[in-house]
Amino acid sequence: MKSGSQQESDSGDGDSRRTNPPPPCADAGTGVASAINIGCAHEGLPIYPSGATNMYTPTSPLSLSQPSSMRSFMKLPVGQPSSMPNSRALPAPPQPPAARCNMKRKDSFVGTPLRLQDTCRATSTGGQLDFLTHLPYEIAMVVVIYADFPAITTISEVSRSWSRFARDNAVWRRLFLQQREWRTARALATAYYHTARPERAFARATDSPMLSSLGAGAGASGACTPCVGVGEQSASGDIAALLTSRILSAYSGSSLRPAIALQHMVAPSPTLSAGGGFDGRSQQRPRGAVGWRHLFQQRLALDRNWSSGTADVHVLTGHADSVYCVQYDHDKIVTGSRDRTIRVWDSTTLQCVRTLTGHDASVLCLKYDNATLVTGSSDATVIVWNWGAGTPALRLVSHAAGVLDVAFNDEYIVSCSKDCTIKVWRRDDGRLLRTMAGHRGPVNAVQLCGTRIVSASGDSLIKMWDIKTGDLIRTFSGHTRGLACVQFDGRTIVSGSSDQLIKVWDAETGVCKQTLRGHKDLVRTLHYAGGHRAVSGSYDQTVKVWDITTGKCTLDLKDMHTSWVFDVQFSASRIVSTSQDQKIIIWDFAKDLDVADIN
Amino acid sequence: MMNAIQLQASDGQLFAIDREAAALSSLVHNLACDVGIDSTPIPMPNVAGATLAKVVEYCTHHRDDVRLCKDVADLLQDDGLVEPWDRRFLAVDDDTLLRMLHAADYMGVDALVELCCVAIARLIRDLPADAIRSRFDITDDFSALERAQIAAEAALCD
Repeated sequence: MKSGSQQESDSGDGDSRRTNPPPPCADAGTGVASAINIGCAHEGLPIYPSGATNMYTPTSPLSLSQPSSMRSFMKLPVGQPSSMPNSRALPAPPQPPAARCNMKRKDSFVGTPLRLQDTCRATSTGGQLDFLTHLPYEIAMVVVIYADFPAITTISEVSRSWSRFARDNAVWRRLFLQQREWRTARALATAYYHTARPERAFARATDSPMLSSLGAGAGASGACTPCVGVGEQSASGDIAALLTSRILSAYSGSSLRPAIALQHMVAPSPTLSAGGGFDGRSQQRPRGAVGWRHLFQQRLALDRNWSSGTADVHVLTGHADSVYCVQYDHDKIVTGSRDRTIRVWDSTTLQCVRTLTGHDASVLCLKYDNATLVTGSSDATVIVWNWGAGTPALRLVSHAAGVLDVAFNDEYIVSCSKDCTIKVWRRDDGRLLRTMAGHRGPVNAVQLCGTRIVSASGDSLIKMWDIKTGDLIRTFSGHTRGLACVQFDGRTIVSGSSDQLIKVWDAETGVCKQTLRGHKDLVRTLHYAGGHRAVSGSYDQTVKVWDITTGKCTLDLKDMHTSWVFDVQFSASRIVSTSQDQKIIIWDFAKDLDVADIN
Repeated sequence: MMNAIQLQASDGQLFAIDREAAALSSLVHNLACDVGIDSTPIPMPNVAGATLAKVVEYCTHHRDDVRLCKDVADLLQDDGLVEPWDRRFLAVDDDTLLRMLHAADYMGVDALVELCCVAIARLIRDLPADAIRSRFDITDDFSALERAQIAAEAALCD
């Protein structure tokens, strides 16, 4: 295992090692003699990084022979010549202007070995390396990433060398991905890194204006290399990979890393470039590249819109009666109504693009996936629709009264009814497999997750069932009146009741973990899909957003629906709710944010 | 077959470490695999005695751990990551902490690298920029223009 990954890293580091200075045996200071000797003694074996003595000067005997103060460690004299192969390591002459410095560095980078000292001199006017800059770049990056989001702003304000982390696309990528409830469009998180190859990254590093001061370099060749370049250079994968590569690099020339990092990471500030870079929405991104800082900022702004209730509101009209149910995705919104039809709306244009008819009474509930739409009606039947043709493929007949909710997975369709039963059907041929009776009132809502069915009934109980056997597993009691809705993500159950409360339950223990108070009438509908956020709709005509962990109502959307709210669903950027007033309301928190890549 | 490995710090101090514990260090592990281990101490020329003592202590304590890869979000929780032993182990001054990080990186003790990174991240996480500068003796080398730009960029995230 270890040796396998070792090889992988070795090949990945191929480029950087080519620029490695030769082992500094000859010029090594006496203090590091033992390292050098070992390195030479086992020549051919990758025992010590050839330049390790540069990197680890602080722990070399020169600086450690007597206990040194923290200060001496934190602020290394960079001119320390102990292990440097030539005299350019001596204290620097006065600096040339930044631009010329860049050119020189660029040239020398291509042809001659890197020198940590040079790099330091150019980045830090004091000629000193602070501790973060002194760390191998990938490790410093991990430190910054672990410091997490608000701290990145502070870090950018510390010094020039620290501020480069706030420009590193890979840092922002990790910051984004480690936010618990943030998701990107599915392909984004992975696809991008498959396209970024280390060779390319390295080449990019050499043609960026290196070590440009934050502003000055932007006018040079880097002005047209926005975030993309930064991202590709540091396409280091996730932290585990980072750490792995770090470990391995202890073998393969890690001494070079800080120097390289300094060179290629201090890209011109994208925000200062004419094209806009991170922040220019119109900026054309090469395929597969992502400006993670931009994404982070958009996502952050989206969160703030949720907190402050800043949303564009759209109203869809077209149904001729109460709209009972809704589900939507990126492209479409699907609604079912008392007017017996199902309508499909275009998410972007907000126009009704299809109307499906087939039920003989109100469409009370619906669920769909890419292949199938399943609806339940007060005509007591369930219809499985052929999405393509828009016609009923199967009609499931067995319930004795209206079908109040449906759920399905690859194998089964589950329906619940006013007749107090739950029925399980085969999805492929619609055969009725079993009927679960146990509730003493109409079963208003049903959820399916794995092999578990969770049902909520007018008898004020929630029950959990095994779909394979039909056995009742657990009963959750606590609501004092009938239940109207329930959600279940496999671990947590959220329920809404006529007692005006929402309760949060631990599905395994049956313990009620939280009670959410705020609605003034029956809680008719809920949406919860894991995480902290749940959204509810009530006969009190409001839609409320909750943090189910704290139990707080974080947003109260009122004065839009003029009657009972029947159904609600939310995503990262929207809430869609439907009501007896025939309206479908879209609360769009993205407004003018760029959320195409955010889920 | 010897079960203990001798490590020699840069200042000549010798440390005996268990083979299993030493395996936490990919550097030592691979050395042992590649060139075999006899009674000759393995020099760690970049690691001072005091630091090597800490690394050896860490490896010895965690020799039997099966460390699972944790969710980063868990790592960032204040009490999620650090076990009590680790917490005591990390109760050192900044200098020692950084030396440990360098040594762990050099010796390829990835769990210790991660632990030190978390500890340092927590150090700087709650400090304002000027406090970071003074604590770690960092020069504010921004020009006025740069500072304004940095502030403008920071404002985007505020």
